[in-house]
Amino acid sequence: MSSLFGLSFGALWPGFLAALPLAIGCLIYLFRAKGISQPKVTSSLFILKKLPNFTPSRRRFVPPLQFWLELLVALALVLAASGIYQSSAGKRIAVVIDNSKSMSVVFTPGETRLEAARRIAAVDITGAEAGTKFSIFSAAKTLVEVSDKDKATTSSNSVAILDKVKPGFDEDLLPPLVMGLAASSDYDQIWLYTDRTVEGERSGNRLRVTSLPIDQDSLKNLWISGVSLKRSGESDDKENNSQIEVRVGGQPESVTNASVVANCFSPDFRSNFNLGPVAAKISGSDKSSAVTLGPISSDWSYCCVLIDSDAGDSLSIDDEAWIASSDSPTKRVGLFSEFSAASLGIDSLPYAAVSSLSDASQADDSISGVIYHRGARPEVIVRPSLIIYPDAGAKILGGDVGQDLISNASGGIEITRWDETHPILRYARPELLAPKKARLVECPQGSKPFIFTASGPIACAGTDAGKSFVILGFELLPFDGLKNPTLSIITLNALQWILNSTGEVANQSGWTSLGVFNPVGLSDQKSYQAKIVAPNEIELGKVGVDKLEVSEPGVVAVFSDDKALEKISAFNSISDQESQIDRAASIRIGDDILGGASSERQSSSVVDNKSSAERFYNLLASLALAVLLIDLARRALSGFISRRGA
Amino acid sequence: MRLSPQALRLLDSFALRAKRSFYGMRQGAHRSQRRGHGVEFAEYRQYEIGDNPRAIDWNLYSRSDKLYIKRYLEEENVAVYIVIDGSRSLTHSALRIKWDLAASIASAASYVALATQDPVMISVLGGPVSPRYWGGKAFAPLNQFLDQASEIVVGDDSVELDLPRESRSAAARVKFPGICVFISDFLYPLEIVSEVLAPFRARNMEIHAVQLLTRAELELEGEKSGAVLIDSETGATQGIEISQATSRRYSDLITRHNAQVREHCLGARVSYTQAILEQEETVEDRAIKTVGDMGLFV
Repeated sequence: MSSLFGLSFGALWPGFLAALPLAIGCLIYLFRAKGISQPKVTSSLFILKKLPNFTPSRRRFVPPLQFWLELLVALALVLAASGIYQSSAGKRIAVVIDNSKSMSVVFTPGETRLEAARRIAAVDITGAEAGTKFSIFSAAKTLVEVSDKDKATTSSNSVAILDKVKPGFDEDLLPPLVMGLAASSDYDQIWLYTDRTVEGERSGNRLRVTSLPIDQDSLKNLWISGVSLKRSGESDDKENNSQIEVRVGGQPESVTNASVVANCFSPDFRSNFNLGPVAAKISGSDKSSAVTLGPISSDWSYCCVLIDSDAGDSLSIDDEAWIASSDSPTKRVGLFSEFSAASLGIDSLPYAAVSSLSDASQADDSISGVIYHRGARPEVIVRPSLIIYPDAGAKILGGDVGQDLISNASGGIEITRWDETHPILRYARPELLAPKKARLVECPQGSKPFIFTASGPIACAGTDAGKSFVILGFELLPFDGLKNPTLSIITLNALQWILNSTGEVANQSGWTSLGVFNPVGLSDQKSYQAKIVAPNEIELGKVGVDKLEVSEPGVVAVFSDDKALEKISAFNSISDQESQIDRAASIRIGDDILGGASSERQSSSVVDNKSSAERFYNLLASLALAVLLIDLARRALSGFISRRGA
Repeated sequence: MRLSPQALRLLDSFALRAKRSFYGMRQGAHRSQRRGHGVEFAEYRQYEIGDNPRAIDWNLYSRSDKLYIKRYLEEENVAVYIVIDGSRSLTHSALRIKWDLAASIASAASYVALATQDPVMISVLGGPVSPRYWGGKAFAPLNQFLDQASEIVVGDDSVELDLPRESRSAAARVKFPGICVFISDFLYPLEIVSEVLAPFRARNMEIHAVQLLTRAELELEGEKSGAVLIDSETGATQGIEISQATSRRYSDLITRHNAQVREHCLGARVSYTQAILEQEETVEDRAIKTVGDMGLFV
């Protein structure tokens, strides 16, 4: 690829360009030799020696008009043969920088992972070949194009744009984002800069991953893995009834002491008071520790919970969490099972309070979701639902459940295929699953299978009447006792899948936070003013009752027109995945899809190039023909003139 | 046969006429230096013992009372010795036409000479030497010799011949000095020309020099602006710019050279004839014309 007058040119068969100097050399030789007759034998040079010697090779070459015409023809033909094409855009590369929360970890003294990624990306961009255009993206939970949309930039501009990639607070969801980007086939290559490793990356693949090295030994982190408001009793009297429960996460196999403190504000946001500090300890195999702050007085609006570690902390942004006085209590999840929630290990889920149900009538509106564990008959299943290992032959939402599959020699059911883009399989590695028992599941209408065995699907997920449900044809519980982290992850993801569909829970329960603020309880007859009150006061202006985008952790207050506080909500960015910064987390991006897309892209690129080259064939062939005609006309004219002269 | 029947009919009208008298080998049509029983009275000589008494002019004796014998001019044939320059300037295959012209001239001259019963011998310098041919029937074998000589001497390699030495060698073969027809292009320095002719002059032969040239050799012309020329004898090459100036200069040079050759021949009492083969002219025509121009055949 080369540039001329701001345009980029390439050639389908550049080898033919080597004929160009050859053609020019031949033309010059022929035209030089044209004036010299073939060596001729003469009787004797006896007299001719008296004439001045004349060396043909040293005579000055003054190309006639015909030389230039024939040179033009040769040039046109050689360029046409080389399949020259114009590519005004050059190679297009999508630079994706992971700006998830874990990228805020200090990478080297004075530099975070994100800054290191930006620095490395800048070096790569600067070193890219001329004419390459870049689009800069930040990627965490969503993909955000930082550079101008639909307008790729040059390398120098792209380096400046990299500074626009700011630290984020979200978990990363790289596989589906990168695959979505690859599917667009707008880019020749995708350069991904992340702190995670990618499995199955191949050289020659369109995806080029730069994984920042993680020094696991030097990384230490404590984080707030959950904040919730505990109220004793069901009375409306909140005075001295509320406590703030803070769950502190830490790295396993280490002993760390931390102090937890809450800085709370009065309803007018003017005065504040502290709760705590309370000591928390992470030790041994415990990954988390729960402490309680309070009781808290009723005259408060929101609190900022902070932890402080005595052993250093590589990631500071997860040491802070927010909780508001009007936040809803932890969601209630019902359980139909012959086992208790405690025996299944789900009695202390950070984001849901699981209580056993005895009959379907108990699954009222206060229940956000129901886990149907084994043996649950279809008639008791209400939505949304997590259905685990249902009975064979059960008709669930119109689908069917098959008999047990036969285990293989190793005593497990082999998972042969899975839909890795499915959110429930995020961070999971289904290839490591080998359930001892599994039943085929016939997916009901509105659902899709996402885990397959050789005999058929054993897991489905979908939505029915706006409520999400999951049917797993294999045992998922007990949760805490599982040694298989993939099953734990699938459990969490499955619960998130069904609980997210219930509306406000995600925003206000604190376990996944940033996103859409849904002003439940606000009247659609009034207009409201929203304002971020913490950590910095920012007027958000008039909001409707539908939704409000929140991008940073903090507290949002909604006021009515008469300045009365209508609602206050805390938004947190809590993610154990991101805060566990020493994890050797590898992700799997469908290299086959990328490869397929790559070949598609390449073939489409070749087609584009060919069509561009064909346009040049026509142009160059027309040029060669026109020049030949001009030459013929010129010769005919000169012949006519010489005849007239004779 | 090199000459067509038409050409031979034309040549039938020619007869060899030597300007000088030579000792012949047998009775012939030319006045010989030998005195004897010819027809034409030559001189009186005092009778000497041993003379044939029948040669005494008794009428003169009666008037002068002295014995004189009458002597008459003998008429004998004249040996014709044709020497062809066998150097590459005539025998190079690229210049074959010059050799053909030389051979045709030799053939035409031989035809006329043989018709008058004069013996003919052909010597190619640097090449073969023919036997002596007698009489009209010898014309065919003579042509055969020329053909064989052509096959021997004509080639396309560069051969540098020591012409003076070859010339001396050829002259040494002459037993009966007579007429020498020396055919060459004389495109060599004048001193060489002198050296080449000197042995035949030394044999007191009547030398007729024929300079063979083609029109292309007299003019430096071409469609191109330059030419690379190869010397047929040495193989040396030289680039020549073909322009009006160089053509003019070349014409001047070769004209001057030819004039010098001519003057040298005249000064050396060598008959000089220039045979220039024009482009549209046939070799045979030029050969007949040259034979006529030589003044040797009337």
